[in-house]
Amino acid sequence: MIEWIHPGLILIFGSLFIPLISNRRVKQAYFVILPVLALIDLILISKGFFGGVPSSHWSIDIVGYDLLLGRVDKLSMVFAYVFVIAALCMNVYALHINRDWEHVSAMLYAGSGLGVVFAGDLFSLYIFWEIMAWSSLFLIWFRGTRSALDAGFRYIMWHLTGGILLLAGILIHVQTTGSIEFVSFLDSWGSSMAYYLILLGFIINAAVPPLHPWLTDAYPEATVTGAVYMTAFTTKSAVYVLIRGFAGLELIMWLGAIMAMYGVIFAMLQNDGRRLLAYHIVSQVGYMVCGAGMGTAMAINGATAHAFCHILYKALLFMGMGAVLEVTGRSRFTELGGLYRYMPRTFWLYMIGAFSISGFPLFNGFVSKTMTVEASALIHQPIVWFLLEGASIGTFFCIALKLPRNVWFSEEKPVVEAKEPPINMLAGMGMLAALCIFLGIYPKPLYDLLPYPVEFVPYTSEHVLGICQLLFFAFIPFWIMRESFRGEEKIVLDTDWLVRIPGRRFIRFCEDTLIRYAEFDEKRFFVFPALLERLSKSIRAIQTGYLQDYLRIIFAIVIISLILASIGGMLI
Amino acid sequence: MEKRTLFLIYYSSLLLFLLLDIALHLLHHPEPHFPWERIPGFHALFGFIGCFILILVSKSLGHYLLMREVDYYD
Repeated sequence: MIEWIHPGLILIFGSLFIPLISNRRVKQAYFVILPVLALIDLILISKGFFGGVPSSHWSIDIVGYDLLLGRVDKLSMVFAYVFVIAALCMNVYALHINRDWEHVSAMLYAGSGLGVVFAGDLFSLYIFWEIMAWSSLFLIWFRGTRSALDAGFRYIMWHLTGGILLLAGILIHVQTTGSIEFVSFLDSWGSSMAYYLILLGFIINAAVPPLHPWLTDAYPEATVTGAVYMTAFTTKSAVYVLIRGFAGLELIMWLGAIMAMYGVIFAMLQNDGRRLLAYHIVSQVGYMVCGAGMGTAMAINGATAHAFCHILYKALLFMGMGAVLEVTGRSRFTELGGLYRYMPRTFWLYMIGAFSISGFPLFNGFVSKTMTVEASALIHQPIVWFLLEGASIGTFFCIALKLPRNVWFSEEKPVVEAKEPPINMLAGMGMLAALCIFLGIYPKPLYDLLPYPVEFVPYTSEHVLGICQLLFFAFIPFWIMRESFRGEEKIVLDTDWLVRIPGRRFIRFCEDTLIRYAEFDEKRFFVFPALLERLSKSIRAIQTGYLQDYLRIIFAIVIISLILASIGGMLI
Repeated sequence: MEKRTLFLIYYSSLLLFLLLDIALHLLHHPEPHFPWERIPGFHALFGFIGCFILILVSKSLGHYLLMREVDYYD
């Protein structure tokens, strides 16, 4: 009998066959069957087919360290379930896309997300962490525009930095403790540099401000279907590792609470629909990071449940806005309006996601958000409570009022020709919408999956009345000021300014200095000028803007680092 | 549905939620975690004022500090 099958590896290895299938129908069927297979695998795991839950599988001994690819417990299972379910709906949504390699990178991305969730040791965690960053990069680059290329570059720079910090932390940790097991670092927090580095690596992926701009910069530039995948895996696997490694760390409770508010405030200023939604990923992940930081059983349950629900409704929201982008080619509010006449179905499906993220009763956001907020009340943190409650006002304001008004209404006549998107896109949205409503009305299946037994009743009169008052009264200010939220043809600076502008100045400074030295040298010594000039030119030549050139450079870097790593390995 | 009817439904639901909340506080005496939760209609007030504050903060941040022309980074 087979010991265990890794659901992530089903997606990763399965994806490699996609370009080999020539018949389009077969290929589409295969693309949908892949996550179904992974889902069946997960159901078999939780039914105890491979041994009970919790259990460990696929322990591989490499140079004296035990790599553990399959740590199965309730926490990893709940994340795995939502990853696979989301991947299934997203694949349906992306079915009409003909770019095979985009499908491959999406499945590599989802599969490595699962790899992170099941990784029981720090090395395999790191490997899947890196695959996740690289595979998702192509979901941005396949958009093919100049701004997508640039945003992709900035995206991978952030993730490389995060990855290196994480790796450094892991190496120090392994050096001092001799163990590569991935368990809670809370007890050793502060005892060594390692944990700060690991935490930094984790919170870059969780998009905690001020380290979040890679998300809000790159997601709106990704392809329509690619962006949908990206909403789910990177930030939520980071939430998972934060819960696993740093649950109960007060620092991240505060970071999370601030983050929830930060995302909302910046979202209100945005003019691009998908960028507005991206800022709300930051805000919503704030609830989860905060829950992880509180560390009580209810907070961990809340964070996990919220991650589960968030993946479903945020993908739905991105799908809705993506559908508009797909048929009109526009995503800025200043170029949209009045589309309800052409796209009513898309509108209503989007609104189900919008009510869910706002936490309306009967939608899934309600059953998870209230849990996290209640957890902050139970440990008597009034400031955290105010930040989280206040952020949900802004969430409702932006996603359920500002965005739909600007896209589907606001003008009497539609400003652009449009139609409903292809049927498979509507089907993908429909599946997610059904799940959002189902879990909102009947949360028991979700609560049964959570890591701790749930002692929380969402539908009490206090909760329902509280949230209804909060949101219904927040509508008044919106209606009064609705015209000033029509979107402005501006961009909003964020913390990436600190890297982009001084960074550019620094490069200019280096180039200028080199050239000035070359001129000086030319007059007197005639030694280096040609060399320096060539160097300076080749730095510029790297930035050609062509995907092939970038790929070639990356490939070369990977090869060189592999060679260096193996030489280093031999020396050690 | 007409706009007028929609707004009528909206205003009456506002009133309904407030009345229900007052009734809840009078009859049920919920066990609050924070003192302000004893005020009937607190969430309504919070939603209303909170939304104004959010608008004020974000708009002023945007206009005085953060908003730039689209080609700023080019």
